Amino acid sequence: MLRLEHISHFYGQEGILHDISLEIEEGSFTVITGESGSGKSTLLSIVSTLLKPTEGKLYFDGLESRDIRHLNRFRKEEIGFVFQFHYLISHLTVYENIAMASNRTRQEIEALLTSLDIAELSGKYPDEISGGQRQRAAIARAMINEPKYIFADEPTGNLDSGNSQIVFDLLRGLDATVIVASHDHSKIKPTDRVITLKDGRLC
Amino acid sequence: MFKSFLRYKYKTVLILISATAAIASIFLITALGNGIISMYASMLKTDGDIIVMQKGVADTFFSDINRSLLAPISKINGVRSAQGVIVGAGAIDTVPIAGIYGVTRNRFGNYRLQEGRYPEKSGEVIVGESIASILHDPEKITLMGKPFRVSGIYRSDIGFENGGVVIAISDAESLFHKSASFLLVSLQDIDGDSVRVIDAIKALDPDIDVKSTTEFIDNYNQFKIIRISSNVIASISFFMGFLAIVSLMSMMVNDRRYEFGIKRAMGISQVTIVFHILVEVTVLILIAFALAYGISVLLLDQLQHIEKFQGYLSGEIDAGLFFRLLAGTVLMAMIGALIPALIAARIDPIILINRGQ
Repeated sequence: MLRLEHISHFYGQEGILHDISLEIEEGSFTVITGESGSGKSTLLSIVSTLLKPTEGKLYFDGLESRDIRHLNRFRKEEIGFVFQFHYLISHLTVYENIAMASNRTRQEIEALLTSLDIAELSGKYPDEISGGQRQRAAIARAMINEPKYIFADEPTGNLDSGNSQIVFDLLRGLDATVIVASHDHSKIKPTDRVITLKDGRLC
Repeated sequence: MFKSFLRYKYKTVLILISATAAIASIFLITALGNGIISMYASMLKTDGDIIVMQKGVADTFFSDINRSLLAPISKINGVRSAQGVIVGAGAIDTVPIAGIYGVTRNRFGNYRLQEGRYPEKSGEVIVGESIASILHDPEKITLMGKPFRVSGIYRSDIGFENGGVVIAISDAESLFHKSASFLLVSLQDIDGDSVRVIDAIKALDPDIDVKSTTEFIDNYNQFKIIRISSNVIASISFFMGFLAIVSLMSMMVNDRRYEFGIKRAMGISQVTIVFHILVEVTVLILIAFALAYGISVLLLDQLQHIEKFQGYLSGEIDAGLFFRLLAGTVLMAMIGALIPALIAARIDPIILINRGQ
């Protein structure tokens, strides 16, 4: 289980998040929604350990994030992150982008690419493939270590409707605790847990 | 590990060119500075273990010593030979100023003849190969307005001597109105005889200063000034060059903060990221160093043969300079890369990614 206790975050004097406390069940699919500037991305960065909160505590299965001794290893083994702009490293091929953060064999990586229908892109560079393909490659990178938690920040922000649906379906089908920040309400299903933010506060 | 270099060839080539230029400038400036000192030192050290000059005169140029001392000096036990030299400068044909070396007959052999013969009578001159190439008349020459006949062309290992002329010391006496600038004494056994012979020469005339050439080179004001100037210029060159390398590497690493952010978000440790950076930077800087060394050696070789410089520009890259510069370059590149890398390692990954976009 993932638990947030009184999380607040400031950039200088400007408050981005204010006193956020919540719990997220293991294996659930959660959508953080809210208007642009409401603090969705900041909250997602904090719960994924990519940003230290100014105040408050974050627990993974009862262990406070600051007490995690090997945070890099924890990120590598327990967390997968899908960014809005995919953030694949441009001088590495799709295969190398995925292999860089994993000890999996070539066969395992290629099997994953096949399951995401991008096996033929393995040797291509990010600027040689489409936006939807890049986002699928980014999801493959997030999935490769079979992490317990997958975080996705506006993963469909730059995709057309068809590709957006594919990406959401992919994320929803993962065997992990998935938290997605998205302003797109159309992709939310009744079974999803929805957390709404407004001006950095829970609604 | 080096895919970023290959993927961004243009950027890599630009960094390589800049680093090569910075290293080559250090090589060239330092080598030329060292070369000037080395040439002066070589001139005095050649066939001379002891130098005798006028007492209380700071510069050989202004020294005036009676060359009749050569005879009693030659008779001192342990002396192999004694030579007299007048060092002067004046107009040679259309060249407004160049070196004129008046030497005793027994010093002619220091100037390797390329053609012709050594001066045998008054009014004859041998010319350095650099100055020979710009003479209007290969047979005749004027030194400070007086006509001389060219009897031969010489080549000297001391670069600037190639840009001058050599005449008999008696002819030089009439041009510069002095008997000799200094006397050079070579010994049969420099370690065993040096102190005794110096004392014996001093006893010949109270108005002379006698030193071993090694001591003279270490203490001579002109050398001190050249050495200090050369060291200051070399230090500035080192500083500027190293600053350029630090800035280049720093920019290169800063440029990739976004990539570091992504790698850290993927769980790659800071140590691994920094190690990769250092390996990349070291390889890049070693390539730049090798290129700079090659270019410098080539340029230094060409500079010595440019007529315009008359052999005055001569540089040498010795092992000390090579390894000092190699160590300094690699160290500076690492510092340049390490500082931004370590700063980046302390910043939250998402901030690195957002700033680096």
